[in-house]
Amino acid sequence: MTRTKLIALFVAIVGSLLYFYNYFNPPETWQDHNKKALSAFHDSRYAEAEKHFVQALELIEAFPPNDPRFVFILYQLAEIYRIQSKFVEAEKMLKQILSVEEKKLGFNHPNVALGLNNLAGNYRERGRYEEAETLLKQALKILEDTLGKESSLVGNILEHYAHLLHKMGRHIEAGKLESRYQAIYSSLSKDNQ
Amino acid sequence: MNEGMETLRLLYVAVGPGIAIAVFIYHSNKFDREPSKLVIKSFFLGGLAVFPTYYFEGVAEQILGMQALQNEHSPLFWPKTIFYAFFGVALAEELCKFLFLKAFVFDDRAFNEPFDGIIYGGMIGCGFATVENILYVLPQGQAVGIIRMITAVPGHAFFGVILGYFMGRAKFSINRARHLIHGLVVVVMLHGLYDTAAFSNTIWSVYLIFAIIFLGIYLGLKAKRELEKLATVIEFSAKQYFPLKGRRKKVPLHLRDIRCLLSKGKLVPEDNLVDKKSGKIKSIREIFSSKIISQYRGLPKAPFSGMPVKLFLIFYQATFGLYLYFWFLGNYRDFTSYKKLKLNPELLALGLFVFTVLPYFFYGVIQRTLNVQEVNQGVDISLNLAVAGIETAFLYFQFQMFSGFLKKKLAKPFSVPVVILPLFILSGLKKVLAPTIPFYIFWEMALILLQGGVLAIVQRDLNLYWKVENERDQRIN
Repeated sequence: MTRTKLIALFVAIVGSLLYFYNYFNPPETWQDHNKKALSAFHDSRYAEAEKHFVQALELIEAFPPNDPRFVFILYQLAEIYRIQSKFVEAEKMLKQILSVEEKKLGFNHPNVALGLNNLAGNYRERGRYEEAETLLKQALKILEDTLGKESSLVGNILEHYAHLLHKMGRHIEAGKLESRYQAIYSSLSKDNQ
Repeated sequence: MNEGMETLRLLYVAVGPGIAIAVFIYHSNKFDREPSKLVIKSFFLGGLAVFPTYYFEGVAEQILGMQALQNEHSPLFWPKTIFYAFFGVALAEELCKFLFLKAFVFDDRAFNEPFDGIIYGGMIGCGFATVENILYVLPQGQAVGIIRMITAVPGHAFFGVILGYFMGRAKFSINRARHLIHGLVVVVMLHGLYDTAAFSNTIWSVYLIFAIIFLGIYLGLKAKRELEKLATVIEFSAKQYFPLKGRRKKVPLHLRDIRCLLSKGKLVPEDNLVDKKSGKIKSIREIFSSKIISQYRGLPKAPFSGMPVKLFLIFYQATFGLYLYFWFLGNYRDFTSYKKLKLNPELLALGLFVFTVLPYFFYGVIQRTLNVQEVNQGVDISLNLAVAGIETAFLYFQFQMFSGFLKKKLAKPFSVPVVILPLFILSGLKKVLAPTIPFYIFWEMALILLQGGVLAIVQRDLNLYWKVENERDQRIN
């Protein structure tokens, strides 16, 4: 048997065996883990959902950081951590999202404002009110500059801010914000009618 | 339609095109039909080559992180795509086909003239295209099957023909390595460009894909034509030689006798022969090289034997009617060659292919550009009828030409209008037929059978014509 024949036989046999091994035992992709995690999440099996989201994140880390799939998984993980009251881990995810969005979209983008709002929510739940307030002020400014003072998202941030101020005992300031966001909501509902 | 029937239909769409081209290539060898065992073996070797290359491509895809590339704006998109297309896919696939061809077919004694490279290379390409098509079409559906029917399948088949051309020349040349490397480089370049266009998924990539496929088909047909001339010279050359090997023969050998002895294993390409006239000693490799093509002009043209009607019907049916393109080309080539007509059969067949496929492509582009969500049935039907009209017009001109020749030799040749009109109606019906109607596959098959039946009338008369021509030539000789 010639050397070429031996090489060809080796390629044919080993290559085909490896192909069929992979075909019947396919390596799990990030989509597989994401699907399993979402299913576990819907069934309230949070620990399992967390495990699959972490595995999906490990696979997706090979993607460029500005890839929307990367941010999507980070958001899912942050939410899972929040539900399980793992606020420190959730904070890490939210900070990572914020950094990606700032790099991708710039500092004055509504998505960045929403990221700041999410992080503020995390701080509020942990009693870090001052830090939360700073973030909400930043988010409010971005949204007012980009979408206008009467936008529904501005109303949402004002509502969160008012809620935070109540927690901090600053009820008069909170009341002012409440009347402001209520005015926004009522004008929006009139527009929709 | 139940799941089993759907799988069967998809399998039919996946397997048909590869087999159609394989049949066309196999039947292009007119003088020395290759052993069917080796031909089938080559086809299956091509199919087998899919598995190792797919494994390798998967590994390359992972290493290069191809999944992470979303569009051409992703970092390192172009370097990674080009590298993957050329080295991860094109080189892997063509090298594997090359390796299998070289290891299991190249040294076989049935590979006894350069033209055989076209047959075996083409078979490897068709086998690869068929198995790959099954892997794509079964999970992804009919739409993918139809796109691949006019892109990847002819691409693989004709890249195989081009590779086979160089293999054939390499086997009968003193510069074996040079031809082998040339062959591999040419097909890897073509295939790599095709894959770069396919993977980049940009606006221009569709145009580039079609351009490369047309170039591949054109080069493949040109290569085939060149080696066909060489095969004709080997068949009819009057030159005679004495072999130096073994007992000195008293009767000198023609080139076709040498080809026969090669296939019996009594001679090998390295054996030397003595030219009866000049006394020069040359190896069979040197004699069978493409240099002898220059003798082609002076050779008599042998008429063709035609094709059994039953076989034609089977091919036509089994290939979903795709055999029409090859039949159209084969007929033009037979008449052009025999009657020394100034026609370009490849260009005409390519014209038929382009004009019956491109309207659908442009229609799709217009729909996408105008963002048309709902399909307008009136426009759809008009387009299908227009394409049926174009197809019939091409056939009309071909049949008119045949009719002129057939009238001189046959008492009652077919009438062109009588054949063309039903062909137009059947082609139109076949194209307009909605896949949603009950028993769609049955109606589609029935229409293909009827269309094949009408074309079989022409094939029958062509067979009679070639028979008469053969008898006349035998009387003259």
